[in-house]
Amino acid sequence: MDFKKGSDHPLAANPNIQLQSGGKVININDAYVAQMEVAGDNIVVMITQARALPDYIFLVGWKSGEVSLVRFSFLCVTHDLTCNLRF
Amino acid sequence: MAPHFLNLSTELLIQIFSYGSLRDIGACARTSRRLHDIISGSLYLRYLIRTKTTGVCDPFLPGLSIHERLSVLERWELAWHDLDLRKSTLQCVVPRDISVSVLRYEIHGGCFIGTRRLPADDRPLGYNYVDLHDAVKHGYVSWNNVDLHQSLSVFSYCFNVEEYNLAVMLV
Repeated sequence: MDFKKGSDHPLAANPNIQLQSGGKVININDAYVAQMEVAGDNIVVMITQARALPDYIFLVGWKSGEVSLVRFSFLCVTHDLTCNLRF
Repeated sequence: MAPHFLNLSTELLIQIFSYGSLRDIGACARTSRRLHDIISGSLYLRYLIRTKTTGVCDPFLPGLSIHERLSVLERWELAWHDLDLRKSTLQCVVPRDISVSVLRYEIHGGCFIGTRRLPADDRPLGYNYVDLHDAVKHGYVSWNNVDLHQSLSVFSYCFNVEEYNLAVMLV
């Protein structure tokens, strides 16, 4: 989002991005905690299930809309509901 | 025969000095007129010495010339010099309708941000912010409001106001 206006960000090719793993959309409601940090053109998204380590770490190119799953714990399976990033 | 240290090119000597501590550079500058002239004549070394003196760390990300970096550092030094913590320059009063619903306050890119939440729910539903630069410039605080769509249940958020005027919501 455009911080000051609350509208879609003009530099984001796709203001809504879905985070998926194995073709399935991540269910954010199953998450224990989710942390995000902007690093230049990318956003690091860490989604932790109810355990000590992050279950998913995504690298999201917020301008391009590209999503890379850079870490995934096979101990957890989540699906069904939606998890969207809104820019 | 290996070249004498003083016979190395100026560019090479500057590069070597750039790895030295403030004390080392100062000591080298006092050993000979040539080294003194090289160190005092190099904008890059002057900038490095100044960052070391003020305790500022510059990772040298691309985008600014040394001249511009020196200018920014001078403004930074001046701002600290002029700062008087005993003197109140701006009163940022949070209106009651905002303060009762605010989950958390933070500062990003010159904006003072209060994230609002639903009663009995910690998930944010919007945020209010004050542009501190504008507030100082105009002498009064103006609160701006950004509401998120009510159908969105925000799980997490982050801001990057200074570079991209960006707010990110994980819903």
